[in-house]
Amino acid sequence: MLTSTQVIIVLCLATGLLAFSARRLGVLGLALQVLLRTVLVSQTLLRPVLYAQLGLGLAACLILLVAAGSVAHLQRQRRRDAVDPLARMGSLFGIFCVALAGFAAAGLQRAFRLPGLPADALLTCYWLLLAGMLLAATESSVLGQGLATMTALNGFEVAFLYMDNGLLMTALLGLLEIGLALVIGVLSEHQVQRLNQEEAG
Amino acid sequence: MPLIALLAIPFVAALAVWPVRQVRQIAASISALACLLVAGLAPLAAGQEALNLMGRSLALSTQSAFYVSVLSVALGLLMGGGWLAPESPLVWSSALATFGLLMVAACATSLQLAGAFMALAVLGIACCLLAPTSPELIMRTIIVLLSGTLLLLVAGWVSEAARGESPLSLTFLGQPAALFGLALVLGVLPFGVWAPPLSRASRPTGAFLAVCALGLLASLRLNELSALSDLATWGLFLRWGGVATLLYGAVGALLPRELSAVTGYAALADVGIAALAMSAESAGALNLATQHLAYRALACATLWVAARVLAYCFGTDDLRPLAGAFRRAPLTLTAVWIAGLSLAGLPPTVGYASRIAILGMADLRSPWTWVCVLSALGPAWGVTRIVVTSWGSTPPPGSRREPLWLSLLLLALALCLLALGLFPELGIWFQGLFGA
Repeated sequence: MLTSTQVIIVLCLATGLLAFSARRLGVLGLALQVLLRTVLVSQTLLRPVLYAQLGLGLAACLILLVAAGSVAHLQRQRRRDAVDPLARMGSLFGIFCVALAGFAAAGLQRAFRLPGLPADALLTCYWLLLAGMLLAATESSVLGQGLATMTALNGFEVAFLYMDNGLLMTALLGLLEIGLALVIGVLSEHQVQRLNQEEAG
Repeated sequence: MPLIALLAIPFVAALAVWPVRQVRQIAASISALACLLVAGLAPLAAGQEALNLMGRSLALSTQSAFYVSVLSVALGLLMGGGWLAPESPLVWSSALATFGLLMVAACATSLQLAGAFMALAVLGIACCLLAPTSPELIMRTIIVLLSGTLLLLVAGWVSEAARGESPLSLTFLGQPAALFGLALVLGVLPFGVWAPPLSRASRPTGAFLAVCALGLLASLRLNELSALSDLATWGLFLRWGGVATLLYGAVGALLPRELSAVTGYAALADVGIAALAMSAESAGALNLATQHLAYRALACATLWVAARVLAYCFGTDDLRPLAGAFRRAPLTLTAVWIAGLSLAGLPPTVGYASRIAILGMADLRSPWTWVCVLSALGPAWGVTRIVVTSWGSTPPPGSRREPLWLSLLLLALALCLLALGLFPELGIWFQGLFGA
């Protein structure tokens, strides 16, 4: 198991990468979140279920990696003088959002405790939920919003798998995760295609 | 009729329609028939033995069966409307599978399981809405609806935790989860701004599932949700949220010139009325809210399909080129007018009957009651000016005549809304068929 300091470092890294770039680095951050979630809930889930959850989480990251590749390709192909249609508010702004989420999560963890949930898991839940919501509100690209939504979903799952670790709910949440990744991938491709057409036309 | 057979119909139909998804006449017919089959068989599955799904049970109550039937009829009409103009080849299978997930959510005896299935249904709704032109709108809709359904799931967990062997009191979690979850899914302001733009996205089936079906099925859980909340907060939030939603929708419906857009705002205004019913403390108010949402779903489906018929005949549902359109599409435009009046809440339609009953129950002071009554004018103006514009002597050049079978279906559904308003006993008799 990880110590509290290690959990905070992994959280900073996982959400910081996402805030820094809503493309491939962001997907790496998401993969880190999936690994952290697996470690945190490893005591509550049966091994095969845990591995299936991990597999689904990583598969979702792979789907999003492909979508991130398309977005990166679009931004490389863009004419130098053209306005970037997927311009973000800046990596520094995103990192401030994550820092804000971290401080708020630390406060919430002390104020609103959930019975049966360890402090580290609760901090992770609040941190990922808040960071995900803040980034979803500030990101401009579909992929960025999708990665932020996946982050919030990861935070939700950390807490929920502690509260209800039945096979049915675990399976439904896993299905939701992979389904959401697919929808984000398709929507991101649509956005890239539309922007390509607009630039060509 | 075993419940499992009823629940399997939409999923089997979704699989059956997949190979023929490009041939829209066949796909639309199969999908519409599957919906009508569900509508017909739901009363037979009501009250049957519960299904066991990995330790959780699924059972269709008589009340849920009635609302599943209503939604099936409305969805069947939308699917039939797809015969005319394609949305996307994905829509048939996605809509059927989504409806199947929503039916499972309606059958789930625990709110927690219902929330999980509703969250999965949101992904299905996203597949129905998929369009290359509006990925940002779809993503925002997914975020809002997913947040709402997951909050309902949390509310369900809190509700179960409070009834366990070692009960937990988690008011700080249950109350906001129940209130915000419901507000997000229904579209009560300040969370309702996601709903009207969906109706402009030329994806009426997805819009119907998101705006009408999800909210109606969430409202079947109102008893559990209100039990989680402090009644004063619940009433205050829904009362003033409802008034704000009503005014926003009513003013919004004054402005657009397209029938689909007017419908989007009018539907939002009607959610405001349902929220007012939810805030009332009278006995039966929650049932009345659900019933109002069901009539709203029928009216919305009629108007969205009518907008599609107008687009088929005249190339658009915008009122500007519709002068003289009544000569080509008299049945459709009559249906538009009746369904529009019902959605606006004007007599003698069913929308008026339930709106008046709700305003009588809602604890509003005199000026606010009048504001709520007058807010019916916004949607009524939006729909009426489209119908009045169509009364020209010369049909628009290059226009087509309305498809008779679909127009008759639209008119029949609109006349049902009228008949239910004129003879309220008809609604009670119909619910009696389900044993409710």
